Amino acid sequence: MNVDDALPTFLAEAGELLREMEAGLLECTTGTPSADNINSIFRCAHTIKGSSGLFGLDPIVAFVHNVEAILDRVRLGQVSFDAELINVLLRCRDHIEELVAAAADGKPDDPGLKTRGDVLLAALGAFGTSGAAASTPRTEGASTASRESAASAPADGSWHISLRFSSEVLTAGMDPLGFLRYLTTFGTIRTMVVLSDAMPMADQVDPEKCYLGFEIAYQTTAARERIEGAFEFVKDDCTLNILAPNSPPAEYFQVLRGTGLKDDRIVQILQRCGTLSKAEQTPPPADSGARESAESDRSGERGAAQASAANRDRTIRVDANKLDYLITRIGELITAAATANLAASRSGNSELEECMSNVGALIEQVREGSLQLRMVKIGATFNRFQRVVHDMSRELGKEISLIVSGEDTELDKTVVERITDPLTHLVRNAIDHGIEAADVRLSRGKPSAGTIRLNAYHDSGTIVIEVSDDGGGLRRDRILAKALERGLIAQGDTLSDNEILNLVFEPGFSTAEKVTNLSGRGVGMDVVKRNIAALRGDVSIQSREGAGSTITVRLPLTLAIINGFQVAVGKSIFVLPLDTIEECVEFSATAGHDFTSLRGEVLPFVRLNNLFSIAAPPARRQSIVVVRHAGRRAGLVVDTLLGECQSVIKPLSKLFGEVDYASGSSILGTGEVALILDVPALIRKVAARAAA
Amino acid sequence: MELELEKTARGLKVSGEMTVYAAATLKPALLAELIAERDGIELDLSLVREFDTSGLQLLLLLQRESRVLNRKLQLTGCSPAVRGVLELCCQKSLLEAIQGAAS
Repeated sequence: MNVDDALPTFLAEAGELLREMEAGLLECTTGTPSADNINSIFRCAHTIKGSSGLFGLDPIVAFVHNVEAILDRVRLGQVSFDAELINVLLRCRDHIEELVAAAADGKPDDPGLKTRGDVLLAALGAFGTSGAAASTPRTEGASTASRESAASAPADGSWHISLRFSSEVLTAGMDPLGFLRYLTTFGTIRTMVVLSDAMPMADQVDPEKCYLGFEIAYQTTAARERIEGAFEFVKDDCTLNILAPNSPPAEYFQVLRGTGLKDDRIVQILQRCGTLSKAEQTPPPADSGARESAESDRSGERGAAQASAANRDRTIRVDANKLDYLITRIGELITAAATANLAASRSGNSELEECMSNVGALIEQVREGSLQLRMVKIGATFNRFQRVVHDMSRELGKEISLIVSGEDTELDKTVVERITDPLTHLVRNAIDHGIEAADVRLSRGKPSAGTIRLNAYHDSGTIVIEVSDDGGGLRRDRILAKALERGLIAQGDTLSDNEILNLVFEPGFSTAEKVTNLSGRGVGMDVVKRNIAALRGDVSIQSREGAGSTITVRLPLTLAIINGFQVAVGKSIFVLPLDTIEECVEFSATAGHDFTSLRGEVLPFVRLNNLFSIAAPPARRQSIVVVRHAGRRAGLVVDTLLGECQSVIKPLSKLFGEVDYASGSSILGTGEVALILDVPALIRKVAARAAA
Repeated sequence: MELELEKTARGLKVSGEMTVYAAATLKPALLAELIAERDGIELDLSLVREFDTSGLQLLLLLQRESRVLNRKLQLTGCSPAVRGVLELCCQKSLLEAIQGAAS
């Protein structure tokens, strides 16, 4: 494969690794960084360096190398991992992102980038040198001590680690010594025998291949998993055998025989490791039972390695455009199938009709499946905000933590992409204007650290995303005053609390100068609302003065195809998203009323024939479709219920921009066009009428 | 960062990286030197800033070959990076090959 062809994969992977690295770094700011966490950050940097090397992206390699070096020392406990270092590392991460972007643009040698990189490296260097001076003697002391103790070591008490690396490990960018050094962070290497037995004749030695084997007597209080974990990054590139202290001699022999060594050499090695005393130097016979167990152990490990490789292979990267193409085709397939269906039922051929219904069922499954392909978890988007919160709270000198829940909630990839900007806006607003300064918070009896929550869940065919803060909340009096001044409301208008709060989403409510004297909320909120409306979603706000605000964003799960329910009024057909429908009941109401009683509860309704000015006389037996959105119900009075259908959503052209209550259109099997009703808008209309 | 080799009276002075990136250059240079110096080879590693597994491997190869040819291998200088690795890996004989090492 041409290396350049793989570049997009590299870019995508680098992006993922950088996100992982960022998440890891941010996690370290919230508590004591765990070894796992530092390892994962290290691994990210390491992998980026390795793959950049493959593409000859030297500026990236050079920069990441330094970042990796410092991370390695963090791992070894030589440099303390404090907030300052994390901050510099975050900036380094950003710089790597810029470098990767520059590489993607084909200009990796931008001098401006280089200068910025050097500044960061200088900052990193400051951590490196101070740590080095303090730590080098300590490591040396430790290893000297280890050699001394090895001399007098008793035969028991040490783990035995037998390690062979694949010959390609060096070119894969790994340094076996790094892993050995890491071992010294949670134990002592009592002694080590470096085996060069596998090294061929001098002229045949490829200096970039690794021929060395390591037999290590290692003392630690850590568990086997911890030792194994030290070789986590390299587990595909090494054969690792760990023997517990005081294992029977036969097991040592089994393991070492497995690496292809002769018995007398094994005795020599084990003696030098202090593992065998002189008395035990006779090799045991090749006990078949023991060999079997060692064999099965190894095959178990191999099995696990294969399983993890298989796991990795279970995902593939697909160009998003190909997916979009697939979805578009399926949309057309659905429309075509509806036409075929209609023709089949007209033909009166029952066999054909049955076939068509089978085809229809399969198409539905294909549709479900292909839409699923585009569903992604919102967690990745949420976690991006950890950084926003971290950076902004530092900048503003506020202490804020971000709590994320519902990360596994899935939604369409295109929706995720387009919701990120509005969400960023909302989160920034919450940080900047929602959360008060620490002293104000304390005086209000709240903890000095503010909390911002992001939550997501599914609710009747929509995804709900909540951004809440425990800050100062919105001041209704100020909103009212500002709205009056702006002419958004008239003197004497009576507004519900809810209406007052939602004034902040009105265009023209906010301009820059008002930011400060309105405790800032409302900055560009109309833009947020417009962006969300463009996704067929809506946004609302709840707030309690002094206690905080919650902004709720509701979005449809997908933008492409929905399960619809067709209804007819006169000759016009309308489609309702099936997820929004609760039930259908027979129409009954006292003449002149626009509400009815649904099992004892008041159900307000709208007549679609009035709403869309359909002149045809109402059918003899009308029905009410009960729809629900955002916790509110309403009835829609229709003439006929036509049943479920799959509807491909086509946006309404600008010509129909004036049409309220329709969110799109769909082409029916007959070739006719049906409007897709905007249920949230209808419910709002009903609610507004009820309030008036 | 780059590898630099400098001929000394009885051997080589290696500066910079003794890593896998330099290994392909370093191996023939070291072996040629070992063959050229009939009275034993002296390596000055005092300016080696980075020393990885491939560096260790080359030293071990050189040690093995020097024994085969019955020529002495001496390290006239040893940077902290090299010494750290040799100590980590308990390379007693290489540590003893450092000139001035207390032996």
